[in-house]
Amino acid sequence: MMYMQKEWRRAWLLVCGAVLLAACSKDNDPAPEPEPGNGNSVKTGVYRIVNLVADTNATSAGDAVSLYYSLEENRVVPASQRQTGNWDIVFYGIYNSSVYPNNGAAAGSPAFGGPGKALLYLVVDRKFDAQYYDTLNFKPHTLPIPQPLWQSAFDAVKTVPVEDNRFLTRDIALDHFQSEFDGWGHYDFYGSLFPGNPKKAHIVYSMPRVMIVKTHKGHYAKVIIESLYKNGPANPTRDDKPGFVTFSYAIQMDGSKNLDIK
Amino acid sequence: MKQYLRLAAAIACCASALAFSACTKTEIVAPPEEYPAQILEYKIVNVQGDPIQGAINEKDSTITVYLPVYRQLVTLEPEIKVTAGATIQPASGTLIEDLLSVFRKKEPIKYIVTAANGKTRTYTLKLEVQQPPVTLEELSASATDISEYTLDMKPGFSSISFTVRGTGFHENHDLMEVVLVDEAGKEYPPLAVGLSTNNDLTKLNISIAKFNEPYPPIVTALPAAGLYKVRVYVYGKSATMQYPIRITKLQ
Repeated sequence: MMYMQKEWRRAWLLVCGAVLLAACSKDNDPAPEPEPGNGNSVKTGVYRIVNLVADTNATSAGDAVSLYYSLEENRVVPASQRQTGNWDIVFYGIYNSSVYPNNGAAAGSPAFGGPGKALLYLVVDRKFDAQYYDTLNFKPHTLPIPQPLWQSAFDAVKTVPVEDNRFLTRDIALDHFQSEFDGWGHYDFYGSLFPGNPKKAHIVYSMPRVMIVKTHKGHYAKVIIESLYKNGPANPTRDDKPGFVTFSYAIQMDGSKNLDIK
Repeated sequence: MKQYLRLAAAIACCASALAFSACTKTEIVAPPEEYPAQILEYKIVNVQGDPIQGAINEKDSTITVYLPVYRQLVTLEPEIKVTAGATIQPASGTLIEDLLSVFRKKEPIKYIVTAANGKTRTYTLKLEVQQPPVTLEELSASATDISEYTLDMKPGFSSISFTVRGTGFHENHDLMEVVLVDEAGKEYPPLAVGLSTNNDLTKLNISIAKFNEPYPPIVTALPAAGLYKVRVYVYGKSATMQYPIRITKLQ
């Protein structure tokens, strides 16, 4: 009888130990693995990047030089590192106007083949859009779009509104341009918003729309593009120099989906 | 009966003794010599899913990494483990950037491991690309019947265009480069490849166009006249046409 009791006690101890171990390993799971690299991560907060030089020789004729950006570290990453986890989004294609996440599984994306796990989602609120945008014909009805709308669009996104499976592995590009997809900006190919004004053809109008990025390391950020032109003119023309990206982003570093960041 | 059993036991004893002696005859191979400066593991980690393991050959101090073209890798991020106390240069995590030019220059990448006692050992990285061969159809009919192209620099716009047909091309044009090679073997700046052929893996639309300044480097680099062979690089392989073409640049 004594023997049995001893055995039971031993078994009980084992069970306890196993539970403890399991608990420990569970605690350890969410801690991200230390990654090699520069490792100068930013703090949770709002960051604004002004006149980031993408490709100042950009024309509407061909692709500009791609601009790879780390939201985690708030810095430009050389294109030669496109197949690494060092960046989160890239400004790609004509006028640097397509934004791709660093997702190495997306065939045809500049990240393809690399380890990237980043995702992208465009928040579209048609009621909000109606303030500046013809929601049936997919073009701005008011130009220049009132400046305060950027801040209110940015502030209105307080959390990640959808699950990760609704995010894209490919790009968010120009709004309904050669596609049926909503985009972050309107490209007036023919200058049809300003008939008869040749300086208004091939102009990209940024719109107050927020993109949500899940970074390669798994943090959520909201990004809004203010302008692709030097000094962010409210009403750009062909005389304005493209290739200068001005954008704001807020990043949440605690792993939560809280994007109500001031 | 008892006697039989005894005999059987004796035979069994003998047999087992034999078996044991056979065992002791087994050759004992010494474990591989442990070098104080040794690469224990080499893997490429900047990929989706499992890393690409490098095969380390201690006999000839090489690391072989197989790179299938479908991965489209142009940068490698190796994670390297070395013997305790040893260091390695370049360090683990040092990127191998611009792989396409590494393939073309054929300059070997070397790793130097330094042991705690200061002794060093050099490993050579062998990159084995796995992709179909590149073949090209000729633009000229023969070595004497040469196709001719003229780029006139006088009008505002002029251009040369031709189609290179062949096999082994890739839909990702970033992995390809088309160059002219002159008679001395000198390569000229890359030619523009049309975007419309991304999905047709048997042809490449090539153009040399003179329009607004600054001109593309190839326009500036071409002399007044010359014979050139067309060379196509596709990831880790390349092919060069057998017969040249003639390009004349009219000033």
